[in-house]
Amino acid sequence: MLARSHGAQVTPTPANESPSAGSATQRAAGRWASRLADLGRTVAGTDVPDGTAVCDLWQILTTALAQYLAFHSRRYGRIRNDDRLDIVSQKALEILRSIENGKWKPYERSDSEIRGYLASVARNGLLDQLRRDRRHEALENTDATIADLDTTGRTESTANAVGRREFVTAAVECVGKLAPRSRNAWMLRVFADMPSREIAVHPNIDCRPAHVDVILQRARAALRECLTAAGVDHRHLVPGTFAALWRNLYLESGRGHDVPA
Amino acid sequence: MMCQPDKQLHTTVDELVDLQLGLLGVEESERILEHLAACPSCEESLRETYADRQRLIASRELHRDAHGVAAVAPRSDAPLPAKARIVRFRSVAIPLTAAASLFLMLWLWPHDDPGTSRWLPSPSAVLQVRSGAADAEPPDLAAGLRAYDARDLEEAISTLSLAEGTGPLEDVRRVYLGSALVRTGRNDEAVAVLSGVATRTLPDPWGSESRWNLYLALAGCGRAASADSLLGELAREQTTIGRRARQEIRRLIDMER
Repeated sequence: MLARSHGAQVTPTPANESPSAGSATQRAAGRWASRLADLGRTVAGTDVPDGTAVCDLWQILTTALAQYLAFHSRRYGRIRNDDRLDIVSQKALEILRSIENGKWKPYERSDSEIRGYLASVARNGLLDQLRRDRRHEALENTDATIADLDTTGRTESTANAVGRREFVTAAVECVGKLAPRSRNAWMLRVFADMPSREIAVHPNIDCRPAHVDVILQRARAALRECLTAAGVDHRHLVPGTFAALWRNLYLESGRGHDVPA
Repeated sequence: MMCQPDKQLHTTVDELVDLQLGLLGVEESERILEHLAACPSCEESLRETYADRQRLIASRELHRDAHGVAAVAPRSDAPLPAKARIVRFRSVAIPLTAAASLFLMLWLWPHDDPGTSRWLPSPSAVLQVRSGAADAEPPDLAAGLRAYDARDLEEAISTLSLAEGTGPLEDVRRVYLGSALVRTGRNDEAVAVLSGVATRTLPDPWGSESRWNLYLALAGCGRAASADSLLGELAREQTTIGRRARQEIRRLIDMER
C-alpha cells in the first residue's frame, strides 16, 4: 500500500454519520478509502494510467458501491439484480473517469469524506431507480443499521448449533474436494444465482453454457455423495455455509478477496 | 449454552468491503468471519455483494475507448465456436422449403444504421411458396404483409391490426406489425404488440429482430430501465444482434461523454 503523503490518519466516523461505523470505535473503519486515495493519486493526470492501478481502483469502486447499495436497499427498497449491476457499473465508471481527469481528487479528501461520497452516490443511484420503478418506500425506522436487521431475533439451541457446525464443516470439506473450476461454477450458481450462460463467460470458468450444465450436474452429484457419507442432510444449506466456504476458498488461499485466481 | 450473534459487533459496510478486498489482517478477518458464520443477516450482506461482483465480472469488462477514456462494455469473449448455431423451430409459419430463398434475401438485406429498426425479410417469398394454399391464410394478414413488403407502413399497420391470425400465424402478424409500429414511431403500441410474441421460439432473423425492435420501442417510449435490461441481454448473445447491441451500448456511452 502506498503511504499517504500528507500523513492523514485513518479515523472512524461517528455512528450516525454514515453506515461506516458500528458501536465499537476501536474497529478500523474503511481502509479501502485510504487505498482508493493512494491509487487515485497514481492514476490521476497521467496520459497512460497504470493498468494494474486502474484495475485495483475499479475493484475497490465496484465492491464499495455494491456493498453500500446492499445496505441502502434494506432501508429504501429493493431493485432488480440487473438494475443494481447497472448502477454499480455506471457509477463506478463515472467516479473512475472523474479521478483520471482530475475532477475528483480523493487523495485530497479524508477517508470519511471518501466513504461518505460513495455512500451517497450509491444511495442516490438507488433512489433514482426506485423512483423510476415507482417503488420508493422508506421504512419508518430511519436509523436502521445492519444491527437492526438481524431478522433471526432468536437464540440458537445447543443442538442446532452443533448440527449446523457439523454441516458447515462437512460442506467445506466436500466442496474443497471439487476441482477448482467445478467449485467456482457451483459457487456462482448456488450463491450468486447465475445462469449457465453467465457462468460460462466468467473469466474463471470460460467454457460453453452446455458444458457448465454438465459441470454443475457432476458437482451436485459429488457433493450429494460426499455429504451423505459425512452423515449430514445434503438438501439444504444452513446459515454460515457461505461464510465458511468464502473463508476457506479466498482467505486461506492467501488471496483475500472475492475474485479467485 | 445458548448462542446468539453479538448485535454490538455486527459487521459494518466498510469492514465487509475491506474483507473482500483483502485489506484486513488475519486476526481482524477471522473475527469478522466468525461473526458472519453465526449471523445470517451479515452473511447475507456479504453473499449479496459477492453475487453482484461475480455477475459484474462475468458480464462486463473495463477497457479504453478510441480516445483512451475508461469505458465499460459487455464481455464478449464467450467461448462459442465461430459458426456454431443452433436453430430451434417450433410450429413456425414460414415453411422450410423457402429456406434457400430466405437465405438469399438475408444476404442481400440492406443494413441500416445501428440504433434503428431494420426491415424484416420480405414476406413475399412466404406468400409465393404458400400460393398453392393461399386459402390457409387470412386475407387481411396477406394484405397486411404485402403492404409491409411495399413499404406502405400505414396501410400495413391498419390492415395487420385488424387481421386475425391463429397459432404461428399470429406470431407472424405481431412480428410484422411490431416492426411497422416501431418504424413509424408508435412505440407504446409496438411494446404492447411485441411483448406478446414468443420471440425465442422463432427462427432468426424474425426472433432476434423482434427482440431488437422491442428494445427500440421500450427506449422510444421512455422505459429506460426495461430497455437497458433487454439491451444487456441482447449484448450477451454471440449473434449479429449481440454485436449490434454491443455497438449500441458503446454508442450510448459515447453520447454520455
